[in-house]
Amino acid sequence: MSRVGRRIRDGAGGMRAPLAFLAAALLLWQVVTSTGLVKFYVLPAPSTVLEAMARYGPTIAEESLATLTVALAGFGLGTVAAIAVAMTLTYARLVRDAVYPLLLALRALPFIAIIPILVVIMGTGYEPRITVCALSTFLTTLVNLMRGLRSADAEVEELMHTLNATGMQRLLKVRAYAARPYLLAALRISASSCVIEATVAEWITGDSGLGYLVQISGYTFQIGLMWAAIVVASALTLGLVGIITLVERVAMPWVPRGGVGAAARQGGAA
Amino acid sequence: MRRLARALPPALLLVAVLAGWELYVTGAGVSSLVVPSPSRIAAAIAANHADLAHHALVTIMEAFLGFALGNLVAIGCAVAFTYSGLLRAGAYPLVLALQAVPLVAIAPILVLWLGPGVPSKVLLAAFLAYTVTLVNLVRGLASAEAATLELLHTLNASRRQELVHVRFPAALPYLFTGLKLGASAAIVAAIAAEYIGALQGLGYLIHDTRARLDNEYLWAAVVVAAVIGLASFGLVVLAERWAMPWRRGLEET
Amino acid sequence: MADRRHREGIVVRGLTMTYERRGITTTAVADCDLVVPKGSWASLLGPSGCGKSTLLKILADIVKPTSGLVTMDELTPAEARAARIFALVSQQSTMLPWRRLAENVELGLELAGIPKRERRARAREAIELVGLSGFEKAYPHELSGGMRQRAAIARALTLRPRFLLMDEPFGALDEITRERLNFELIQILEESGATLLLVTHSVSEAVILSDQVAVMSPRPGRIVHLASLPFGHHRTPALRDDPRFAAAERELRRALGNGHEVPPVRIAPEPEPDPALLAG
Ligand SMILES: Nc1ncnc2c1ncn2[C@@H]1O[C@H](COP(=O)(O)OP(=O)(O)O)[C@@H](O)[C@H]1O
Ligand SMILES: [Mg+2]
Repeated sequence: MSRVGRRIRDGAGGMRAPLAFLAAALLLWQVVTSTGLVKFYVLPAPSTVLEAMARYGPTIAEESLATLTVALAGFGLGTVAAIAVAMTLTYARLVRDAVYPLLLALRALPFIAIIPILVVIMGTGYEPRITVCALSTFLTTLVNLMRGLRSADAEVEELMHTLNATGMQRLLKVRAYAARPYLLAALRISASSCVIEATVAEWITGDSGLGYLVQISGYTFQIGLMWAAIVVASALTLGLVGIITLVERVAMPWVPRGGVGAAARQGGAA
Repeated sequence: MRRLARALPPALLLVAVLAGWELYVTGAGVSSLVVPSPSRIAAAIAANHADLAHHALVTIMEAFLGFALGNLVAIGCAVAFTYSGLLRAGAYPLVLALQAVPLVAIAPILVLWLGPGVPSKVLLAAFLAYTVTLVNLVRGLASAEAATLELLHTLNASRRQELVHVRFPAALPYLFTGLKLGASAAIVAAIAAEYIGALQGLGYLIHDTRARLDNEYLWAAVVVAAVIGLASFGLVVLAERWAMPWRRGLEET
Repeated sequence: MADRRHREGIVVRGLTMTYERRGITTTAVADCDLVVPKGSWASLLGPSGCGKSTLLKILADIVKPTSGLVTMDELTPAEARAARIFALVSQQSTMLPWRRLAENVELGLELAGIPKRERRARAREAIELVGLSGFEKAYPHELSGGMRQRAAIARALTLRPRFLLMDEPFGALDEITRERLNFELIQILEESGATLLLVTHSVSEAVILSDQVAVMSPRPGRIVHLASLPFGHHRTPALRDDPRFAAAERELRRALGNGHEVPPVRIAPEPEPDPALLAG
């Protein structure tokens, strides 16, 4: 437990300089806006944004919950599906040869372009929003996992072979470890792209969620509220990414900090 | 020959999927207002090709300008972060955080600032390309092996030589990872900002055709957007092959 | 006069190197003394982890010593590096993966601003010397470990260094290639008059390639035995048949085995071979 604790705490080190930087930027922002040189609709003062947050707290909380529900549901569905399909594709050679190249191509699509189509088919409820999040998570995670499962050292694979390991043993004792950094990198990317896609989908469904709140506050010129909603959406993303980074640190004690080199080079489109 | 053999199964599958789709939609009498058949989408593309080309070009231009701008700034910043400890300690974590921020969500702010024209889209695309490229490139520039840097040191190399001969080539795989993500993100950014407020572009067209319930045209626009997404990704992959001849045959994409 | 002669060449005095990593301190080299007279060939022989690479890295200005004095022709490592008077062949035979073999061999000359035509010629010559002709266009990942090591040696040779610092340069090579390259290196050194400091863990290689062999103790490394060899600089493979060769090998093996017990020996200032050392 204390080892785990230390790995988590280590992450909080090195944050002092950036926090100072951030504080300075906020202060500058407040000072500039309070001179009145900048129109409030161009850049509202941080205090205005905070005020809106306090005033519309319950609304913001409600819409955040909607966005979070969509993002997490899509994230969960997409991840589970990706893991299941990746395992299947590893063992079904012929299916893989046919399906995988198409999935690779699909990953390069701008997912947000299909939201209107999903809305036409599914209506303006949660379904199209969750679907787009799940789709992007699924493809990003699947591609990374497929790479990860094949990334095991050739020498280690040979060793397993000489030890007469079964396919399942190989999967559990070698490939699952080799794939872990790739999986976690995909999850980190997916967590943030899910919030983005949920938000954009809400612009289109116009029914609930932070994206919807941004849109109507923009239309009604409540600039403070609009910024507040954007800040909260960012905080949600950072929170989700932060959680996954912590999981990463705890789940891969053998990776030197900041050394997830292989995983760093993997990625998926937003 | 082997390439052809590898391309065959996915091509067959694609044809099968399209054929199944066509048969199902016509056979089961699914309304074109819900899901049009591939042949009708193709017909819609043919019928509207001039319009589609116009909107597509607008989106491509916005995405490309933003992509180029964001990457240029990112490359400069990455070099600065590599050689300035102060900047790296102070600003880089913020850039990392910025990368996690759903930047697309600021599209409404940019449209509010810059109006419904092209600049708001370019700026958003630039923001997105900037963050992914910067993060990947900083990692890449730091990825040069210690032994290689030591070799350059014993050869009395200058900082510029170290950058040109070691750090930059070592960073290329990372840079291209960033560029691939950035190319997709730039198109996403342009379309997303067009959803918010625009007078032309594919995002505008998609939004508009849905509002007019012109479902076949909507699908046609989405197909064009998908093709652009794929093509831009493919272009970066080609550039990657060209730029790193020493990796050819080492890795699949 | 004698004093002056010993300031030239490689001089190591009271060298100590202590690494500190995550609160753990490791003394890699402790109070080490060594003189390699100008133009002579010396080997460092010792068990792995005894600080041999560290000593070379200090000479090559890659790490700064904790204390002590190191000079090459009276220049500090930093000055020597700026004057480009030494070349290091490191243990990893580092290649830039994005450069073809010939481009890798040319690297040092390119960084020094040597015109293209000249560096082409010098690289070609060095490549031929190490037996890699025909592979100029290959990328490092297309070469075997041994070929990469030979390329690293060629890169060092293009620089025509006054001091050649080599860290187990033939470690990854098969016995046959190794011996061939040993004698080719001898020819190169003979012609160029360069001073050699070679790290090796092969006793016979140390004997073939040295005027003096410094045996290091296990960590913290210090020099526990110094053998001077009487073979001169004109050496051929027939050297192996010389009875003194086997005697020298035996002596070095004994010194290696006794690493702990033999008290530190200060280096005799005279570079002349001492037949007494070869007797038993
Ligand atoms: N950069 C470093 N940081 C900490 N310890 C090191 C470092 N480099 C070498 N050492 C330690 O110093 C000792 C000597 O290493 P080295 O000089 O590489 O030995 P050799 O080349 O004789 O095998 C070893 O115990 C090694 O672990
Ligand atoms: Mg060593």
